[in-house]
Amino acid sequence: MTNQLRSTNTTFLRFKANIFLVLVAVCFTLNACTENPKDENETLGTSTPNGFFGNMQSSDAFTPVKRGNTVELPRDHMSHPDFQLEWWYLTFVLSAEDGQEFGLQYTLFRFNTELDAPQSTKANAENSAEVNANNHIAKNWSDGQQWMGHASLHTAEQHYFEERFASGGVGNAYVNQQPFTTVIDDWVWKAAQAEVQTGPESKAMFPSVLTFAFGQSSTHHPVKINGKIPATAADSLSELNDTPGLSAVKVSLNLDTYGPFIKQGDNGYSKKTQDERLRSYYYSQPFINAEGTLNIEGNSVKVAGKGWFDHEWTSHLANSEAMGWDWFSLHLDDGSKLMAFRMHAMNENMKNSTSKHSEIFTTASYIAENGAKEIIDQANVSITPTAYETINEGESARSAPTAWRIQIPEKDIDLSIRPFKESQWNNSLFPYYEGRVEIKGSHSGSGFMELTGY
Amino acid sequence: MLRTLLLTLSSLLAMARHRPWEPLLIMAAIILANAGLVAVLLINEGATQGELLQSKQGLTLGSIITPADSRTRFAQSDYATLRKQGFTQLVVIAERDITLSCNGSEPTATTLTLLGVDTQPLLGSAFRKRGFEAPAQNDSALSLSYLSQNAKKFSEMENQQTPAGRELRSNSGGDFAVNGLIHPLTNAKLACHDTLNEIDRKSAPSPYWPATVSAYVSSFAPQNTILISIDEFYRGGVTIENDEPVKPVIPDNAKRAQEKQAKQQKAYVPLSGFIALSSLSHQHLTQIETLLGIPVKQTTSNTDNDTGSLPDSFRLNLWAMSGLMGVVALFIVLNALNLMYRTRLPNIIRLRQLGISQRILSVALFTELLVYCVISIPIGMFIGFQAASWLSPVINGTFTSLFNAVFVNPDVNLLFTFGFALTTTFISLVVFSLVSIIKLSNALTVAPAKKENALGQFAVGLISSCALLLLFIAEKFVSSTASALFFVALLLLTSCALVLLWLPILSKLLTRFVPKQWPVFHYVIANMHLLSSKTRLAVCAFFIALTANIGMNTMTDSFRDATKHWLTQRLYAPFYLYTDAPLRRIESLSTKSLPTLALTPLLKAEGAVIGSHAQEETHKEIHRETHEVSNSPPSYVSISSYPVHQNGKKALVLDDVINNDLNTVWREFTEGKGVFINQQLAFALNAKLGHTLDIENIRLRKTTNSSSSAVNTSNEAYSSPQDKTTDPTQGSQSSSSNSNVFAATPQWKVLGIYPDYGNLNGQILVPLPSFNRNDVLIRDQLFSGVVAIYPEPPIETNVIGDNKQSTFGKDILEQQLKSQLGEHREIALYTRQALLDTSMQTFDRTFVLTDGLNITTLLVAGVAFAVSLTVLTIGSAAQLSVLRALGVSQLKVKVSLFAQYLLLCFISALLAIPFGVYLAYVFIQQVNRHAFNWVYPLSINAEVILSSVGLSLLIVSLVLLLPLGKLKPKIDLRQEVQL
Repeated sequence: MTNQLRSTNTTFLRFKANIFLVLVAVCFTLNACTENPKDENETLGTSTPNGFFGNMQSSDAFTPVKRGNTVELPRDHMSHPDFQLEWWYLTFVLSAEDGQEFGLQYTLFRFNTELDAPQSTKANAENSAEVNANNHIAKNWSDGQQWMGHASLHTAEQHYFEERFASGGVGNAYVNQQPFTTVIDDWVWKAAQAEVQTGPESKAMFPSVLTFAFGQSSTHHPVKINGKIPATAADSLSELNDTPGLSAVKVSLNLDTYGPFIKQGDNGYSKKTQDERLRSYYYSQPFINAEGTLNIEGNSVKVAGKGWFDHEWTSHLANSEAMGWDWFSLHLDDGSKLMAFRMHAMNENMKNSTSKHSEIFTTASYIAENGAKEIIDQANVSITPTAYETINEGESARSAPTAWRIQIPEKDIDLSIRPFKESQWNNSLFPYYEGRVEIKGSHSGSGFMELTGY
Repeated sequence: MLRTLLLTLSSLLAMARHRPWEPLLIMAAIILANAGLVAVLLINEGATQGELLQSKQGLTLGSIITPADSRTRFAQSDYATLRKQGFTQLVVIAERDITLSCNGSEPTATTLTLLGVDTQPLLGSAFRKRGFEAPAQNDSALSLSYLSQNAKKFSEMENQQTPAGRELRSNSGGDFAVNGLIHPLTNAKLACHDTLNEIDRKSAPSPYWPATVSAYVSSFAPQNTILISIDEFYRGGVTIENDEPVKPVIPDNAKRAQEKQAKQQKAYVPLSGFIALSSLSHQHLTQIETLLGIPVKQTTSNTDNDTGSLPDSFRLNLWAMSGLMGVVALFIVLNALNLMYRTRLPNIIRLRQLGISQRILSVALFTELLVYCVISIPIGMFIGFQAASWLSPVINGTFTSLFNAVFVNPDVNLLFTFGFALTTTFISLVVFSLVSIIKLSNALTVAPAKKENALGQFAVGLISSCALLLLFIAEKFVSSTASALFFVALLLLTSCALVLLWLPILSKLLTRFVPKQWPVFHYVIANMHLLSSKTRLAVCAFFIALTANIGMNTMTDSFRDATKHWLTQRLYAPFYLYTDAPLRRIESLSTKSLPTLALTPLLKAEGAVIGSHAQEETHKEIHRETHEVSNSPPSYVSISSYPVHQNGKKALVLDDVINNDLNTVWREFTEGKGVFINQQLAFALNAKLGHTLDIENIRLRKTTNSSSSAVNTSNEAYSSPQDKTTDPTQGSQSSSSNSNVFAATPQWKVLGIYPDYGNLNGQILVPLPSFNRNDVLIRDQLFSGVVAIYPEPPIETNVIGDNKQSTFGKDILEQQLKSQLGEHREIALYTRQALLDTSMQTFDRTFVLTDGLNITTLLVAGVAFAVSLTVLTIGSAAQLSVLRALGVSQLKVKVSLFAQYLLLCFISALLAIPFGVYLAYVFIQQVNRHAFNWVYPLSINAEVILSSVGLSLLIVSLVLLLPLGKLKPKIDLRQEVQL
């Protein structure tokens, strides 16, 4: 027990215990956490991915991802609480009638914090026994799941972003099956119909309505109270915090599909490394039509465009071996879709060596207009960065490859990917790049790019 | 070159060894000055840090949404409903009391609130980015590892140190680890506390909550709480609902889990409410009520504990005192240096003759000083540190009782402090040694003897009256605490200069009166006149110290007198009851008790004063004035009840009454035609008698338990009739909720101004019958928990200042009250005398600090005097030899010298008295007025002044005995050096 506490303490020593971090620790170390003291990545500004989910440790206590257990829909739209990590990911490339272009993101993450007692540890038997005992103290408030929501809108000039957290089991964050609903506070994605149909082309998820309001006005200036600038956090909060109806961006979109769900990898079993030690269940819906309104700081805009949905769950990605990924979801102008990623992984040998190089696993899914999916294996796809961008978000400057070339010779695909705009960085608790991209080359089009671990 | 320097230095040090007194004196002065400096530095630092910490509060419990009916509670689902409807500024909290103790021992137990907060929303970017100016410095370094544990690294972590904070182990075991936050001030109050006990309520058993809480120090947590995640709060046996089944969590350990459960005791802790991170409008509240289906209320409390400028002025005072001490220490150093160089002169001349250059000589002299500094500064600092830590409980007490502020044990950089002290001391030493050296070299050069151009008595008189006039004029310009303290310094300097001017004249005057039949005595007086010009510095030091001393003591004494008098008069009833029982129970007491008791409860409410204006103005002017004041933020005042019976009238102490007619004013007051306000409010508003106050937002006070409701009163209903007619815009602010604070709202006309010592805030006295008489709930909330009790019918002649009622028996009364109010009620019954004694004890404790500093200053002044005396005796050796040659005995010479110096001191002491009294006046009327917003009458107590003078003369005479004892009034020609 003392070990646990001590190790928790190191967090504070290292991060100099500013208010926020302390808070984070309180909230996150639900059962006490430890942290790997060595693998902090101080080298910012390099182009080497540094691990998105950092030091989160995978554990045998979570249900493993197994080849052969295939994804079944609509059953698997649901939450899989026994897996450590899960996300429902919606990205949209939207255009207004007046020609304005937007990139919109809505993501719900789920983390299991309950089943995380590592039983495989050899380090200290007594300790682990005590740790296990931890979980026997009944939890009467939450169910041990933690939810995190991200909402992001890129206009040509502005970036609105908000991140939310909630405990599972309280009632303000969940994913329901009937009707399909994802909720974190007032960010709601809800299927328009309640009937659950069977069959692979289930419409349980679509058509649906996505409504969420988020973000802080960009034109905001500190409000003076009694002629002085608010001194305390609470002061400024009381002035600035969003009361209902005060968020900068309000989104209301109707979603429908014009193609099938795509089970990535082998029927939804998606390997992230060649040796499959990093893997997940993964399916997508790349054929989403979205139309609705964006209200940006009081100005309502009618928008329409394409959407892409990913649902992924795993117990094997959140560890120090998964260094991050460069991931693309592209809508090509011929109606086909392309999902491609480069996974940066580390193996035991690499960890022990001092070199910063990681193993890179590349794969892609080419989805024809009719929904036929073809896996492009590592040998036949090349994803290469062509330009780097220095991003000054938060306190640190970092360099990330934001221009890419994707070549799939056998499909006559040679794409040049450029970001929609600069600095599409989500400065969240686990900061990452998530932004709209424009495609040129053999095909044109648009899509989304996610870069993690930078 | 270096060798020469070293040789010179060693010869200088050899001289120091030969005559060790002067160097030791210098070192003593350095030690003293540094000890003072460091102590003041530390104390001020502690005050600053305390103040900073207090102003920093991350999560305030300022605005809480609770069900309007205190019997209903929010459910978890209510919270989810609200958040899902977009009330994302609401954060649920739950509280329960815990005690912390050292190893579980009872006497050390401290009660804190364990505060469970839904910390999840606080992690969101809306809070993070807006809430804090410097958000997450290390966003990038964070990772989801926080979410999960990594036992693999345990062994590597073992060697890490523990950060500031504490580990608290629950008495039901430590089966799960919880991270918590504790406010630095709360943490500072705890000592060895490491055991966490659930408060043992009689109704429920102590719940099973086997946690080990690692409390990290963070100002995010509110004071007196340990903030943890609500998730951890509701674990083990702590649940929200009554029928919550305990779920086994991990199947393969189910057996163990069951064993644990068997031991579990359950406790049902309801949700306390929702913190609103931004305050909600009425519309929002209505919306919430619709969503939840139950009426809710928002309790807004003014949690700003505005310490005002009080700690500031305290710090300023300290600096002034340490400055004084530093000056006095410098006097010592100067004198000692003078003496040292004077005695070394022959040797220095020899060194020069040996060919040592002037430069090397001065470098060597400075190096010698540096050596003294380096030796004595650490000692001084050590003493300073010791003094500060010894004093800090006293200061802590002072801060808590006087300023409602906090003092923390400061955390300072030792190296920085040392460097600072060394530089300051060395530089001032060098400057002062230069002064002595220049003086010395002047003495060495042959100059024609200057005719002493003494100023004529007329000129001196003129200068003095001009200086005094200027001083009085300057006093008119004092407008703030800082300028008041500056004026104090000015006063001291001016008086010092005046003393220097007058001392020769007075001593000359004395010479005339001394008969020539007593030649030795005549010589003494005449010589004193001569001396008075030479002992300037010493006299100055003594004078300043004594003036400050008299001033301080007179001020403190006046304050004490005023407080005592005021308390004696204000405490009119023989008994005072402090209780948490509701008012209706108290009121039913009087009828039940054996001897009939008259009970006068103290009711309190709050209001915001936006300004005052003269009543009889034209409408136009009133409008202008209210417009003016509306720019300044309203000041919150406490509105207290005041009894209207005869005892109340007798107990009323008023500084200022309309037309000086107490009877008329009292009648008007009882009829609700006006109110009394305290000095603080009058000063703050610049309100005069007859003015009418503009008051709005009258509401119930925040009580200690969070269940009191805020009753917003409309301005329309409660401002004076004049306002209603002249300023209709104000009426429009009226809110929908109506208040029942008053049965009949009094007119806010200022009938009188009363002293209210020690209070920081404004206060208004309103006749007791004006308060609501019917609504039991409102009355309970108005009730402050204090009741004055006296036998009925009040025997008017006996009430004040008579101890007869004590025979009534405190114990009997207490038992009676206990039996009637119920055993579980907290009651504390105080007799009037006990309250008086407690108050005065607190008072005396507060001023211990001042006393200590006073004596130190006097001592230093005495030492300065003694040193300068030694220098002088060297100078007057020739004259003394003549006296001896004339046949005056050695003892007689010594006695005469002693008398001479004592007389000098006595004269300056006489001069110090008027200035000291004036200083006390300035302290009260200027410093106190601006720093504390209240004044009190100056009472000149001869005893106090005489004791100050006597003490100082005693110190001086004791100090004088030292050099005089050593004095040999004869010349040894062999030692005489021809200069």
